[in-house]
Formats: sequence, structure tokens, C-alpha cells
Amino acid sequence: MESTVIDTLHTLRDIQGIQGSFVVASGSGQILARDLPSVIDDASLNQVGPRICRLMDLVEAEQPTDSSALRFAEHRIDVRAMGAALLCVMADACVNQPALRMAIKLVCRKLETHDWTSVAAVAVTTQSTPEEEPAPITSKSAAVGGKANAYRGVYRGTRYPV
Amino acid sequence: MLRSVNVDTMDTGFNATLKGVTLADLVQMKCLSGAAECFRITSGQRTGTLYFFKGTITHATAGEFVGDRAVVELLGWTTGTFEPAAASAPANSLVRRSWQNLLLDAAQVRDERNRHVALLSQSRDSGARPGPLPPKESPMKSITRPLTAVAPASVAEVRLDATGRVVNGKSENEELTAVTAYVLHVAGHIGVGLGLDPFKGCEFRSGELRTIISVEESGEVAAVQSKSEADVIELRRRAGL
Repeated sequence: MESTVIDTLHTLRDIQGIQGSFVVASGSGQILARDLPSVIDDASLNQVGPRICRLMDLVEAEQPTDSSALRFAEHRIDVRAMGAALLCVMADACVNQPALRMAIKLVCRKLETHDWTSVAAVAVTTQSTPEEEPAPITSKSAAVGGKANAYRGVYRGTRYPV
Repeated sequence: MLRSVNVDTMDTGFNATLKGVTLADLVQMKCLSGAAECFRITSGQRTGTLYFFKGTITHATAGEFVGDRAVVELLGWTTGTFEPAAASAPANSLVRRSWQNLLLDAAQVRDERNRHVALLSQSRDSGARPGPLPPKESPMKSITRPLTAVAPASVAEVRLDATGRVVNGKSENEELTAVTAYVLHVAGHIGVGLGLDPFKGCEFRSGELRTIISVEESGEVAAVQSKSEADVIELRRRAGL
């Protein structure tokens, strides 16, 4: 299933200008999946996740914030709520916005029913602190019914045999 | 039209009494000449002041308004008189925007009003119900005007400087002010974490409510909350969203 998540996130890169994406747990900000360039290390990403969650909780309204876009000089990050998780897409500022919106919509449609709790549970077992790199696969983590391998495959953006 | 009274009190030059002069004419004349003067403006029961210094408007008051908002308000007055005054401007300039920008802003506000009046009179003549209102002025520009003059769908507007201080006269909405200041910090951290460039702006959507925050080149930050798409288009464009 997790490799399917990666495949789904990877479809975003069909749009020129999209550099990658990641999925954050809505409540904790935990990184649930990533498909980002390797230049963005996990430690930095682990600190970004909770901040994105706080931003989404910031605006008090009758309904929760369902989407947001952060614009930087040359880049943008679009965030879309999908069930218990947030899809975050990093793109060039000049990305074709209608195409970006449609690509996000399609990915959300595929992933909004995904059960992220299993991924989050494995993430907790493999991360001692949010700032640290995820631990390498060990016999302990591998003992979680094969899900550790699956999670690592998602998290690193690389598929490993499960 | 405004009538000038003793336009020039300097030792050199002409003293003049002109008719049909607008405040926009006065602003252009004094800014282009680099004058350092203060003018008292009267229009009916309303009074205001304009301070010029070295080609810029440094301060303005119009009733309860000060700064940029006062300049736009003054430029909307169509009849009255102006005369030199002896007052000196405060040390810190309260007018942040260029006089050209303020003139354009005032012209747009005037055009919008005229179009609205024309639409209303047209519908009254035809006996029909008034049609839709003309396009609303951009929130970024209307931010210098009182909130009552902004499109009704606009929930709140605020403009902050880089330190988080409200610069559009008074705090119109404490919640939006706090949200804006917080977003600046957190979004900055997100940018640093991902190795991205400086933060320029953002948009949040909660159902129909849209919150747009834009960091401007001057360093000031404008924020608008609205349930109307039309209210946020200009600010969204400025934020590059």
C-alpha cells in the first residue's frame, strides 16, 4: 500500500515545476510519506511538519482550514487537507496553477481514504525524536509485521521489497 | 472644485487665487517642486492638513484619519478651499506610500464611486431594480480607507510593519493582526527548513472564508479576510498566489 502512496505522490511530478510532495499527519505534524529531492533531509522535514499543522489550525473559522498556499520568492508550497493527513506539494513559483490544482485534487481523491494510522504507528517506533534521522532498518523495527520496511520505503521516497 | 487661497506665501513667486483647482493638482505641484509646506484643507464642515517636504507627502490628517488613509480621503473631497498653514509636520512620516501611488488610488476610488452612482441612476430611470454593484476596489488599496467603505463581504483587513505594529491607523481586527504576525514567523521557519527563499505571502481557505497575507517590497504586510473572491483577487496577485 505504501508503495502505492509513493506512486501516487510521484504522479504530481508529471506537472512541470512540481519538485516533490510529502504527507503530514494532521494532528501531530508527523511526516507520513515523502517524495522529495534528497537535498531536503528528514530532520528538517520533521520540523516543518508540525509548523504546517499549526498554520492550518491558525485561522479560526466556522469550518477548519481545508487548503492553504505559502508563497516564497521562487517557490510555493500548497497544502490540502485529506482526511487525517495533509498533502503538501512543493513547486516552482511559476508552476501552471490550474494544472497544479488538478494534480493535487487527483492525488487527494486517491489518498483521502488511505488509512494513515498504520503508517504513523510505525513511524513512532522508528523515530526516537522528531529531529533525528529515522533509524535504519533493524531487526526490532522489522519485527513490526513487515510494516517497518514498508514505512521506510515510503519515508525515503524509495521502494524496498517488503 | 477646490479654491486656493494665497497658494504661495514665500517671499519670491506669485500670490494667486485660482478656481477649479483640485487637491490632486496641489499635490502634484508641490511634490514636483520639492516644496516644504503645510496646507490646511476645508470642505464644508470637514477639515484636513497636508504636509509636503522635498517632493513627498510626509503627513496628512483628515478628520479622524491620519497618514495614507487621510491622503486618500482628502483626495476624494471635490469642493472646498486650501490655504498655507504654519504647522510643522511630526518628526516621523506617517505617509508610507508615494504621492503618485496615492493619486492613482484616489482616482480609482473616485471612478468606482462614479460608476456605482451611474449604475444606480440608470436603474432608477429604467424603473428596474439596481443591478449588481461595480467591481469592488482591491482590498490592498482600500486598506487605506475606513472599513465601512470596504466591500461588505470583507471580514477584516490589517496592515502591519515588519515589527508587527499596525500601521493603518488603528488595529481593525486583533485576531487577524495576531494571525498575520504569527504566520510571518512560522512561514519563515518553514522556508528556512526547506531551503526556500524569503516568504512572500500565503492564502488560507476555510470553507468560504479566505485569508490572504502579502509581504510587500516595503516590508509592510497586508492581510485581508473575506468571503468574497472579488475582495482578495488583487491581494492574491500581489502575493504571487
